[in-house]
Amino acid sequence: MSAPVLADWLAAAEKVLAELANSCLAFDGVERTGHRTELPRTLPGAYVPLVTPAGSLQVGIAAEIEQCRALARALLCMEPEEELAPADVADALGEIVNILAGGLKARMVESAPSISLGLPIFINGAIEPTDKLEFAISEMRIGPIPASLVLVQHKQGA
Amino acid sequence: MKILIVDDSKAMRSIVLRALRQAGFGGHSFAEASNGAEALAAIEADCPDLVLADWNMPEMSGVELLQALRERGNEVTFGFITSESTAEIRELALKSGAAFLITKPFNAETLQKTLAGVIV
Repeated sequence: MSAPVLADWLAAAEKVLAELANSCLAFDGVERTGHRTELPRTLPGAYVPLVTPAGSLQVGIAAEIEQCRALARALLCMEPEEELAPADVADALGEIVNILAGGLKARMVESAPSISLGLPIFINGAIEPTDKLEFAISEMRIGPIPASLVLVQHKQGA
Repeated sequence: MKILIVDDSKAMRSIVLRALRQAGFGGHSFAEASNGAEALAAIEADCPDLVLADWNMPEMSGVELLQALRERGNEVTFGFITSESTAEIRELALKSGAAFLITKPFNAETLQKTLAGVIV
């Protein structure tokens, strides 16, 4: 079995995100509205590393801060008007991505064995693109919330 | 019963607590820890009856916590609530002495079924 390419990971991540949206966010699924290969430079988001023998991959969800807050509120079953501190938004979005990464690992383990999960980080700024990084991004609507499903991989041999 | 919830995410600790209450276990006593090292100290100080721990955490992971407890002769009932769900992880959890592993996302019904014979 050949090693999965970034597009395989992204397709699997979309499926896991749909399951996650239906279960712990209580939304009616997700919709893909487009694809990108470059991340908007200042979009905040949470990322979890998946480390395989072939290299490392970051999976993340990035969105405008108000959309990050809305996703955090959905996870915590909060009302839209309830206040949520920035650290709690980062923590909750990190947990959403942690669950996403765990589901992705389970879905990909047969074609990419020995995957290890890292810990989530929240980036409120830009991931500087370099010629060593490859991005695959699906523009999604998670329930009513627009967000980017982001995969970042070090290019093979880079 | 005294139940210790161990997760580095404050959001997930509150979700676990809410789900335990929804599952009918709200009458018990709950405490929280944010990583394995903090939990180890809390377990030695407070002797909980049940530990519900995440797997991946900073400082000391959930499985490292479990292994440290068993090495010290502590046989507290221990279960994982984690996004990890592969056969390899389940096998390591059970081999290390865990009573169960619940995969995130989970709901109150899952907790109710899994913990019915554990929380009395």
